[in-house]
Amino acid sequence: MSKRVEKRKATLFEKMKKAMLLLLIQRKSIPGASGYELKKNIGKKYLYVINLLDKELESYGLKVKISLPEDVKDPSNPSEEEYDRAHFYIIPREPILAYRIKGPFNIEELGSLAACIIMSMAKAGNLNIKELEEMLESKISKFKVKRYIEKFRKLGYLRISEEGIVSLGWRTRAEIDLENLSKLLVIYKP
Amino acid sequence: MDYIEEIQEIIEMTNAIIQRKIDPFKIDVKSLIEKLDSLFPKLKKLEELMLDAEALEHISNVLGIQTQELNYMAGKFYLSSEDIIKKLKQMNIVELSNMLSLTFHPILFTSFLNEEALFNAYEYWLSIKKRIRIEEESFALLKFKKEDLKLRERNIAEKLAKMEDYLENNTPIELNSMIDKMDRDSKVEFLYLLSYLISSGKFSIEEKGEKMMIIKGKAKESSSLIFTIKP
Repeated sequence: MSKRVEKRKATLFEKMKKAMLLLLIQRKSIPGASGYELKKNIGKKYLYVINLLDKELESYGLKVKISLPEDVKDPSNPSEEEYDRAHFYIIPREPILAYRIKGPFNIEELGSLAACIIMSMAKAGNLNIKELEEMLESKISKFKVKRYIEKFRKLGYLRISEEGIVSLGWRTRAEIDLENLSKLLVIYKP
Repeated sequence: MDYIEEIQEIIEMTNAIIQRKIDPFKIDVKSLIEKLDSLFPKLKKLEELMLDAEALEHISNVLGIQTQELNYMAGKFYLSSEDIIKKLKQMNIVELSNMLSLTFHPILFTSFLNEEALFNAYEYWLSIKKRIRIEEESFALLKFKKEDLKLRERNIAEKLAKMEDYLENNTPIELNSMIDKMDRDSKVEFLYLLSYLISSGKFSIEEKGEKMMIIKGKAKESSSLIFTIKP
């Protein structure tokens, strides 16, 4: 192997390490890093480095999740500018099935969060908070409803506008496989 | 039923799905595989093994069709908004949490103390004393400012008393005749002091034709006057 190739390999490896640290170490309120940040720290070809990192992480059961901006024109083929505005995270490749490592949630909270997400998906941006509260009250104790919704909002799973319209938050887009959730919903039979 | 017939039945059933004669979700793939698994030790002849392989191939095809159907339905978001909410109402909290668990990929991140962060914290700690000293200095400055302010207040009070005396002896007097001769700074100061006397109700301004007269006493109606002073 020529010295030039070796040097290039070493540079790429350093960039991958830098990218991984940027994605893993929380510096702002939202973990991960934006495309702009990665571009600034790694260079113009940051997407190539992220792709290499993703392949490297595969052996550890992890992957780089790219959360595209909401106004993206063609999600299957985003533009460079849309990638710059996207947010990058490291997540497990497979869903976490053990309740012990579900983070800050118990079964009831997880179920309530699922209900909030499904309801928000069904209403496609027109979900009123009152409507959501009524639905949750049929599943869990009335006293817990507002507390849970507030918790989901604070953690970034839900977004509630001043008018009381509920939509999906940045964290839902990053952590929940919405496509698979809709598939599971389709095949669900009571 | 003979075990060969059982395998043939599986092949026929799966074949009907492959030919789209029946709903691909009508059969339970897992139970079919378990059945084949239980029958496998009984198979001895090559033909029987071939039949078993054929059944397995058909089952894998059925799985393929099921996946295809699911992708199609999910891609189109097969369920309407009402259907989703209806299903949501039927689900209990455990079913919902299980559903979310199958799609949950929590973000991995960490925040920790490293050498640099510790060093920065140490530096900050050392700088605290300095900060207190600066605060003390600024506090001294604040005291000075307060004293200065008191002095200024005293000056203003004196000027107000002087102005009140003058107006007491000379009202009614035309406002413009007084301020026209003044320079800009004096004009601002005069009007500022006058506003105090008007607010206290000792004097008021009355319009007489084009003239604005300063008169004694409170104004009948409260109003505002705007003066433009050119720099």
